[in-house]
Amino acid sequence: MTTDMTFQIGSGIGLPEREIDIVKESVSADASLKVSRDDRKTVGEITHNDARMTCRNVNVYYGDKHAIKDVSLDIGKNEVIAMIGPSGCGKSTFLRCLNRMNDTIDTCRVTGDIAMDEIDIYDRKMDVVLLRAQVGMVFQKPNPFPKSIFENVAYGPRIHGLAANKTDIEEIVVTSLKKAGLWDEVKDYLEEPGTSLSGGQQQRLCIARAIAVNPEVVLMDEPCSALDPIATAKIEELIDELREHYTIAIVTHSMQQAARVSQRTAYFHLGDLIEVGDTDQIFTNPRHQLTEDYITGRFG
Amino acid sequence: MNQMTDGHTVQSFNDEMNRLHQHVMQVGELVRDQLRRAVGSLKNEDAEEARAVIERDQEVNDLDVQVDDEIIHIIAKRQPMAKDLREIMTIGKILTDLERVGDEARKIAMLCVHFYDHNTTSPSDVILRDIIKLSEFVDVMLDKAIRAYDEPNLELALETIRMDTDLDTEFKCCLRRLSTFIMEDSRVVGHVVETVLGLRALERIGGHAKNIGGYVVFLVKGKDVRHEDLEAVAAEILSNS
Repeated sequence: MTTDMTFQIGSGIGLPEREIDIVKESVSADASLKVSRDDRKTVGEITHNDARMTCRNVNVYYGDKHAIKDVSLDIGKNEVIAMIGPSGCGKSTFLRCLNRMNDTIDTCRVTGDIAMDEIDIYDRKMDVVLLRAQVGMVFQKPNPFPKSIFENVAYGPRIHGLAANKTDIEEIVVTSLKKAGLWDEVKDYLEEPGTSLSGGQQQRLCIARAIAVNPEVVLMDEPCSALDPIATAKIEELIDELREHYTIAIVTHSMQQAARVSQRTAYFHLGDLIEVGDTDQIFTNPRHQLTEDYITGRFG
Repeated sequence: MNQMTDGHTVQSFNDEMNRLHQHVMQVGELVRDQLRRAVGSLKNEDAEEARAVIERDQEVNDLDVQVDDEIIHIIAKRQPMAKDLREIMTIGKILTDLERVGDEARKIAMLCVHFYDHNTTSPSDVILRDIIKLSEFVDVMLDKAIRAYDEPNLELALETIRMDTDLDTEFKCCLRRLSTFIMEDSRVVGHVVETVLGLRALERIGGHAKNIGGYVVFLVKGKDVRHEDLEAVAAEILSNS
């Protein structure tokens, strides 16, 4: 300062000096504001005050490989939860635990507690076929049965005895196709094979098939990865509508998609659940360094 | 190497973010220089220099437009998330404030042209003294604000925000002092009014520096503190989430 200043810089009104000192200490290392990369304890709120599914201390082993490490997470009613993470992080494995799809793999062993509406789904008395109707699944590649569009949707309700007669079945098929946003496109072609539809339509047919058996939860494992942007937009719009009736857990490699469709996001890394939180928070200000590295494209 | 902009798997993303960062530093230096030169022209009664400052404001405006354009392209191309997203939003906002600092500096240069380029009487040194003094204070604020962004440094950001309170007080003191000149001699009313406009420009520059301090808190902490009082900002900085 060259001139005679009548007031001193940094003095006068404002914070007392002591408080400034505290600030100096605590902000000296800005990077430490994030949870360290070495810390694998889950950050964020794993519980949900209106939970549909409750998972506690879930471990999954494929032979010697420890694929899921002590993961605890609630999935709330009428929410879309997105599971994100690099390939091999365990997000699909975790998803497949939720309707015991892992049972089909001989070397796979699951420990811990997974309950739906407070009923243990790994209980020995649990009817797995019924469970998979209650917890439906949509896969990466659309996989309609090699049957007509009508039969693709009607098959589930029929084997689960959800319809007493032909009229009931027809009603379920129409409602499901409407809910899946496919009715207007296929109503005149119900007897055509499901495989004659486009990829996006096939995927919506698979969603119609999943919801025809009146599930509580719909699991989606990268449902849009084989679809073009327009078909993807239709599925995303559908997910948003389905949320009113169902709980949806979606695994996706597209972070933009996770940000668009979900209310909560869970980030997995090498079998650990690293961070879970409101989607808005995860994508604007994640608390764990690993989450931040992943969603900002800084993964080495 | 910048911890906020580097580290992406895609190297060109790093380059683009670093370029934006450098632009902010460049515009920051430019508008500070504009302010110093504008006030200097007033001090040296140099209308020629003041005109050069007015002319050079176009450079600031052009850079502002150019960076806005780059920001739009990065958002479209990269869909930035988390700290990248906050960094980009922060850069856009800082540049808007810096561009306005440039506008205020131009106003002071115009004051100089008005005082010394017409055949009217010039104001006395005692009337202009406050402008020179206050300009040094806001220059320190700008320096702290820009460094707070560059490092990034929350402590400097908080100091900048705190200094704005002092600046407001000093601005009021200046008004009071200048009004006594009018009471003594009403013929100086014209000069005093013009000088008050200059002081007002400086007070606004301080406000822009304070805004930048607030953006830095958002950049690092993810919390918007622009409309919080000082204690709340300090508490946010101290919090660990």
